[in-house]
Amino acid sequence: MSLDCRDVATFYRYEIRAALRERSIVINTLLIPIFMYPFLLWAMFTGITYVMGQVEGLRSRVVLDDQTGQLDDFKQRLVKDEKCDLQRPRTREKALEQIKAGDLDALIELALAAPGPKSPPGNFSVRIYFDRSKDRSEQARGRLEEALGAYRSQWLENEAARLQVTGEQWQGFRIERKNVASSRQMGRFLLSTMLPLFLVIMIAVGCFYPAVDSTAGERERSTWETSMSTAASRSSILTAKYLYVATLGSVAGLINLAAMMLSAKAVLAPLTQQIGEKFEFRIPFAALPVMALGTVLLALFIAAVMMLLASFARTFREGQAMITPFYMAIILPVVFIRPDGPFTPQQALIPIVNVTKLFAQAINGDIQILNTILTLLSELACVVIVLRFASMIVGFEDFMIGSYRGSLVKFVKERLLKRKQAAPLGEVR
Amino acid sequence: MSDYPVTVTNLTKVFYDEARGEVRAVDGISFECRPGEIFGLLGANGAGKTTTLRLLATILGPTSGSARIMGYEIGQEPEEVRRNLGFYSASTALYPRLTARETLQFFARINHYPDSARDARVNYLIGRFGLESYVNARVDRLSSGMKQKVSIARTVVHDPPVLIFDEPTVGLDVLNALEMQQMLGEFRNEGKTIIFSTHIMSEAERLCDRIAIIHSGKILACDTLEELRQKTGCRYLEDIFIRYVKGEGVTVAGAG
Repeated sequence: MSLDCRDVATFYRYEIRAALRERSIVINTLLIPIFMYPFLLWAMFTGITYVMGQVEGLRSRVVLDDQTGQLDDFKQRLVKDEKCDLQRPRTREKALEQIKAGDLDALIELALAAPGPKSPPGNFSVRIYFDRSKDRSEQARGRLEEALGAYRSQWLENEAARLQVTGEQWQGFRIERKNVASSRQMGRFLLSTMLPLFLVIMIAVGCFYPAVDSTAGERERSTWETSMSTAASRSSILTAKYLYVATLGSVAGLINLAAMMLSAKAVLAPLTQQIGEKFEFRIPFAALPVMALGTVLLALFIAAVMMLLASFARTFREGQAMITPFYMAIILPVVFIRPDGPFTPQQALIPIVNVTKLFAQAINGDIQILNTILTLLSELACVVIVLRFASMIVGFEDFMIGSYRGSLVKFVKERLLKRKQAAPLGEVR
Repeated sequence: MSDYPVTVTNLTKVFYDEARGEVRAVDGISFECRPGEIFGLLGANGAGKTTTLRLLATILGPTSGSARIMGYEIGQEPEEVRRNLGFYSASTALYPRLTARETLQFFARINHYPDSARDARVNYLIGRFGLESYVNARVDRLSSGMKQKVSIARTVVHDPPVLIFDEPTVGLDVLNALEMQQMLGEFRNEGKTIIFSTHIMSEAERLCDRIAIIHSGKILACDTLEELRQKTGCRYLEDIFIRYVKGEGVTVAGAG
């Protein structure tokens, strides 16, 4: 089959022009990567913060059952706590019933600890009843434990003073936490967790509609045969379509990357405030070409597979159904990849996983030449394999003219494994 | 080599159908088309007309036999064949997201019409087919009559010497069908060779210089209407057609 660059360019320009006039392609390839994910993330984090804030603002309805009769100072703490609504005592059964019904948030029972020779004076045991399935009740438990912790610290300090020892000596050892990561490292960690996932999703979304539109869509609109009746060779037409799908996938990925980088600070602000750490969202300059390369490689691979799958469909809807399982399959491994885990040469040979790891490593400023080269070779090899397979299928005339009914799997079983051909066919050009 | 623009020799196409098994859609047909004539393929639905035309347009590949368009063999030089051919059928719709002008520009370019003359050719066809008022409108917003004109214009935009029209009047109203017939006549007058398939007898009678009656993938007769009348003794094409299809024809023609 002959390939004419002029024809490829003509068809490619036509496909791009037509795509930019199709609302669903423009939305999925350009607008969603720019606005949708940054906005979705911002909305999600803001929503979480808002809900948490709402629960935080509510007073916890608590019943105290002091069976020791000696902890009036602790009771006074709860009375003075503005976030606690200490209610009149009631029976345990009644209180538990109210907790389950959501009319009460927690019951705290204070009982004298079993006496022993080494038991400190005034020791007591605490039991908190709450409903974990209710945010407000869980919040009440947290507040009670916090109040108890503060009361215990005070009690320990008093005991230390009575025994004439320091707090450190009395407590044995104290845990202090110190995060040694810089704000830049924290920012990179957060970006390397999120960006690779969004990039893969966006490249897949960017390829999805064009792949269906340029194959099944053409058949549905009866323009497939129009293209086949032009003087361009079949290989020129298919090459143009493939390049068009890969281009839109790459564009979607790169636009999303730029949008996420520019909006990361604002989008992630609610989350970073919640964590209480400082984050600096800056990607190393050297990472950009590596990520661009990864984006293009991934787009070439995804475009090839999606076009192969969708080309068996006769309608747009059929095409979507044929591609969706692949779409899910490429997103799943990305979800489970640890961004801070090592990037091994073995991983560099696994498609999708390798590019995801490459993204994560690049964002963290750790560009490994060997793994980058292995990723490049592995992805290119996959693309070549898929395209070779596609060119073999194109040789089947009924597939090419769209009269074959069935999926890729059925086709492989019937034609390639059983060697049962639909008709004596020559090479289709 | 034959001097005819279209030469078909023992052309055969066999399909495999899951339900029916092997189907000989086109069964060893032979004919030639002369310059400046309308050659009609007349047959009932499923007779093999469309398959024959799709073979000539290289959309399908032949099982055996050969055909040449302007000297180019369909199996060996399909791109050259398509460059010398304009193919119009119900299954070759227009690209809906291009404007009428963009459509003509695209087909002129992809069919390798000379760059230097392309704009002039497109403008000429816009004028000739009366597309001026909607030339910049997207094709999917045009009426069916407008689409038909754009579709014919895109078929001839690269000025091919051979035109194939596969049942071009199916689905058209009377006025549009008449207009289509008129255009076919004009193309003939310009010296184009036209292969035209139909199952409408009156259309074939009115338009075709020679008619091939095709049935079950075989050509049963191929001649001028007058010759067919003389051979069968029937006046009307409908009667002639029925006589051949029922095997009552006087002579079985192999080639025209």
